[in-house]
Amino acid sequence: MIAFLVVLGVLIGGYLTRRGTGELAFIASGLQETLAPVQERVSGLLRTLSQRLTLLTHYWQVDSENQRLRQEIVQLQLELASLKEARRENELLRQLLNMNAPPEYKVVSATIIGRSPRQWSFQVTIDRGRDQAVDVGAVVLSTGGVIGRVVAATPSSARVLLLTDPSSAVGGLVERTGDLVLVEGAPGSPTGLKARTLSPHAELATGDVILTSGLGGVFPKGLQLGTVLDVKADPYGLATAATVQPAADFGRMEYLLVLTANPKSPVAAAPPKQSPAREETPVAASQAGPGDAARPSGQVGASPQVQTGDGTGQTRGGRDSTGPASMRAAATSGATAAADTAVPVSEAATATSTSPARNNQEPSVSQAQAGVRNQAWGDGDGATPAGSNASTNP
Amino acid sequence: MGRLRLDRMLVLILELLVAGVLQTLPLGYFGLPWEGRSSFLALVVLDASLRDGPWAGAVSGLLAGAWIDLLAGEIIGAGMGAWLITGYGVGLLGTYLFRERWEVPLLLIPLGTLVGCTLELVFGVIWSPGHPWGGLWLQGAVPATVYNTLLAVMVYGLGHRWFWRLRLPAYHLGADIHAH
Repeated sequence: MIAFLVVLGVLIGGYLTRRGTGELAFIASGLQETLAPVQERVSGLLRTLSQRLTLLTHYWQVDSENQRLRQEIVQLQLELASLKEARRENELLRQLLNMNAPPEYKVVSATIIGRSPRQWSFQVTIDRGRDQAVDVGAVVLSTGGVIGRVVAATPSSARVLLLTDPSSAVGGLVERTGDLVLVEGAPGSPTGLKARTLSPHAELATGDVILTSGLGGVFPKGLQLGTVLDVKADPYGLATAATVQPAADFGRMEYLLVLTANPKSPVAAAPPKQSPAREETPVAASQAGPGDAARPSGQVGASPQVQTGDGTGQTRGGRDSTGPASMRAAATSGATAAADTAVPVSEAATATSTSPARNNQEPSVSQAQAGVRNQAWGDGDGATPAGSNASTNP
Repeated sequence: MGRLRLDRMLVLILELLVAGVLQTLPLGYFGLPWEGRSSFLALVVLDASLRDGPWAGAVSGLLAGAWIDLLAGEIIGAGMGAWLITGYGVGLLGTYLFRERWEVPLLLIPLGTLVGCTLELVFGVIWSPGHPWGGLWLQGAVPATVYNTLLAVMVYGLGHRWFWRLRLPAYHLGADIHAH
């Protein structure tokens, strides 16, 4: 009987197995359907319980890991902030490096470490001094353009007179016309800087870019000083005054470049013949004529390639061929020895007296000087506007 | 000179040194208006004048002015003269006014800063003719006055309640007289 039942069971089992879901499939699916939610709940519960138990078991481990991760986050945040700052610094320094200092000068980077304690004085202290070849007269640049010059130096620091100081006066050159202007500090004005023309015929218009003229022998030629914002005519018709937006941002000066004499330059190595403090006036220079107004060869910022009034009759070109705009471009590319543009001095002088930028045929002071100033970077030709580049400090 | 005790004198010198360093910091980095041209030295001088009287004000003014003149390196004497007069004057004014009241420093510190900076400017530009007075005054004296007023509000105005809770003798006296 038992054997019969076993055989019967095997046969039925075999039959059902062969049929698959067969007639009893609905019972199986019903059971599965009923059981699934329960299974789900229970397995979920067990999973949670298991996780909790795991957490409980590894509580200290997790806690320490959590702390480590938190520290890591803080560290990464600090690194991120540091990288952001480095990127910003990098951009600023790139901007500074793009300014391409003239080859006669060596560039020293500097940081502002202090300002004048006097409320009405516009001077800053930098962290470079005589030990780094930063001495009195060195030109200081920031992103954008010139910010001033060194007026006092110690072995480890130097004091910089900003362009915006009322005792600062720099000889400038209008890029568009080549006219000479005097750029002075103007406290109380919206920008802190103003420009005055030196000739009644000089033109000055809104948007004009003003560059250093290089005539004083202190500032190299072609460095950007600012842009004319607003022009006001002198009531007597003698000169034009303009508000100038400085090229450098005086509110946010962080990294500076100081132009010091390059010992490798033959110009810097030559002994100076004339002190920058003793400078000719523009009138005197214009009267002397282009050939006579040649600056001493040893003057700071002089280009060794440029020879004017020395009998060779070679200069870098007339005003028309290398006007201020092209001059700056040439200076930017560092091409001081542009021999292909060289023309005789007499040609240069002739070209300057008939400037295409203006219809005025009468050569002005600036025009007369243009023949000898068309040399890139620091071509101080011994002539300067009265008071140009000279501090009026007692 | 004998009116200042030695310990007070030393503290005053220390205060002046700290203020002097603060005053030469390039605060323009922080994007503050007027490049953060506050006058911490003026604040120390005026505080000494109010607390210790005219002679202390004069001495601290002389020292602060010397610090300014030496560091600025232009005109020696302009700062010394200006802050000596201001320190003495404010100290003298403080003896006539009821200086324990918090309104008095709030009034005298801006006034003293404005007068001191103006005097310094006057003494300075005497030697440098042709300077734009108005512009320099606007860019020098006015920012310092504004900043020092804010600092005075923080130190004397907001700090006043803290001093009051400490029940300092001077405030007791002031309160009694005021109530009377």
